[in-house]
Amino acid sequence: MQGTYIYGIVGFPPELARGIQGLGGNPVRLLPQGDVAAVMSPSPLSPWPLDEAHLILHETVVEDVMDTRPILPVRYNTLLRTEEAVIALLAERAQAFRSALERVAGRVEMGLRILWEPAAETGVAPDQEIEERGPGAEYLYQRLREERRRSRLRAEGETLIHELQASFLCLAVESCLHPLPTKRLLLTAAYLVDRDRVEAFRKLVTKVWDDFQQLQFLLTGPWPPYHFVNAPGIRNNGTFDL
Amino acid sequence: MPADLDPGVAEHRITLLETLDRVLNKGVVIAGDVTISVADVDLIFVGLRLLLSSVETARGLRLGREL
Repeated sequence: MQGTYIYGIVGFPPELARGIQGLGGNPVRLLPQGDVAAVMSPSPLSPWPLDEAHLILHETVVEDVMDTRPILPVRYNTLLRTEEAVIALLAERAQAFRSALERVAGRVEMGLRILWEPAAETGVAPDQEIEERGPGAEYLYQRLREERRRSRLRAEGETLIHELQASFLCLAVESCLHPLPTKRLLLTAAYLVDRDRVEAFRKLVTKVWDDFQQLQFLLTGPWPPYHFVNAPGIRNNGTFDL
Repeated sequence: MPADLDPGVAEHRITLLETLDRVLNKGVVIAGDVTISVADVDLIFVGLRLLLSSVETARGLRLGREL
C-alpha cells in the first residue's frame, strides 16, 4: 500500500483504545505529530468507490473513534501520498486542529431539517385597477408579483427561524444554519450539543415541534462534529441539494 | 413518512442521505497531495450523481425528490 487514507484528526496521546478495521479491511491507526494525530489506514493511491458500503464504513470508523475521544472528521477519499506528507500537514495545521478539538470536546452534532408549506399567496393585494397590459408589461408585472411573493416568504421564513432558534440555543453551544435552502425546506441546521444534554435537546425539539404543528421536523444525530471543524465565521458549503 | 415506505426503510434512507451529506461535503478539508486531477474530481461528482439517482430511483425515495 503506497498511500495513506485519512478519516479524522485527534489529539495525542492516547493511542487508539482498540483495533478498528478501515477501508479494504486495512487496520486503522494513529500517525502522531506532537500533540495531534491523523486517524489513518494504508491505502492504494486511488479514490475509493462512492457506494453505500464504503461511505458507511468510513463513517463507522469516525464514530468508533469518537466513542472515546474528540475527533475532527475528514472528508471521504482524502488520500495523501506518504506518511511524511501527513506529518507535514499536522505540523502546519496543529494550532487550528488543537483549537477545533477543544471546541468539540465532549460534544456532538445534532442535525435538524424543518419542512414547511408556505401559503401560495401570502397577503398579496389585488390589483387596484384592472388595466390591459401588453404582453411585455404583463410579463414584467408577473415578475414583480413573484419577486414580492418571494420576499414575503423569505421574511416569513426568517422570522420563524429566529423564533425557533431562540428555543434551540438554550441547549446548544453553537449552531450552523442554512435558511431556506429549497422550496420545501424552511431550515437545515446543525447544533453542537454537550453529550450529556443530547436527551434534553431531543425533548426540547419535540416540545417545540408541538408548538409548530404546521411544520415537519427531522432530527438526526448524534453525529461527529462535521459542521464545527472550522473556525467560527467560516461557513461550510451549503447543504448538498437533493 | 411517505406512505409507500416502510418506516424502517425510510429511516435507513434518511440515515444514508444524512451520512452522505456529511462525509462527502463537510468536515475538515485537506488538499491531498495525491494527484486527484480535475478530471478525477469531475468523475467523483459524476459518480456521486449516479449514486444518488440510484438511491432515488431504485428505492423510490420520495423524501429526497420533494426536497
